[in-house]
Amino acid sequence: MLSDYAPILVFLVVVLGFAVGAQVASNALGPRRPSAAKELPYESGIVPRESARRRFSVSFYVTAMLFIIFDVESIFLFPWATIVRQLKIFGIVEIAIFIGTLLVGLLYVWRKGALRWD
Amino acid sequence: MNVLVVVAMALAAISSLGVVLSRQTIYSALSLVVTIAMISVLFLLLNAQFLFAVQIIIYAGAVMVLFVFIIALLSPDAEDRPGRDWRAVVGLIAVAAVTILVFVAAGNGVTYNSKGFRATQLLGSCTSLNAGPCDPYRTFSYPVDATNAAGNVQTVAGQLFTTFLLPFEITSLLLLVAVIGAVYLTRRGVER
Repeated sequence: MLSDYAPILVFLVVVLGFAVGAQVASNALGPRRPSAAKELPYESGIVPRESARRRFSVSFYVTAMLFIIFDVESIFLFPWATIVRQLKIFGIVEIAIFIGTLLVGLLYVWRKGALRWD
Repeated sequence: MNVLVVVAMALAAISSLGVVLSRQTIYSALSLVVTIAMISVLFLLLNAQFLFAVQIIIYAGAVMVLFVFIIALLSPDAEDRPGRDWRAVVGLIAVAAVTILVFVAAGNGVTYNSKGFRATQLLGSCTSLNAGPCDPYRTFSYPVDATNAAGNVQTVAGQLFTTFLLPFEITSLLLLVAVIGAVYLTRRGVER
């Protein structure tokens, strides 16, 4: 049973190997000529103006909250998908009720303008 | 004990210490991601693949995003290091007491019935909607082999979408309430 996860282990080893290898190779092979501009935090090429440690808008929080809720919704679709053939029409109906209820929530969010970004 | 279990438990314990001891709240959050990932590995080793997926997708994904946003929202600066506090002692004693209790209980055999009870027959009748007696309340202990033969996630789904259908549908109402609550609590005065 555990050997079924061997591909994941191989994947993890390759990912870690690549990440560590890239760092080591860059440190070993690359020239190091530090300057003040290079020591600045990288911000997509723009010169940073202020500290990154400042308060964020509450809009991010709403978005994260809505993400969790619809993430929880989607997690139920995975087990449902594994037995949808056995459940037949019954399964379609029950998941339709489930998604329909949450669709009401989505409509509410939409109508309230919580998806708008201003 | 399995080597993987020990490694996962040790990493979970170390990273959860990191959650408590980090001075930067954002590092606490990152340590919590490691803790959650290690607990998910434990779920996988316990043969609970669905819980593994839930742990990764919901907790390491969505909940951690929310935590990071809360940190960004409230106190981006480093936390002051608290002095020695009597509450730490109380907490330590509580953790030790619970740990000892769990080990004593497990040592005395207070655990799930490892033999399983009629589960082999019922797995078939409960996962499909075919006729046949289905008494899931007596089959909470699934033997590993039978569950794997029927498909682990399928077994969970078979219970969730037949026996526990009403709680499942109520979950959608709960999520609906959460949606409305989230939008209402963060509204910005003006009614749109």
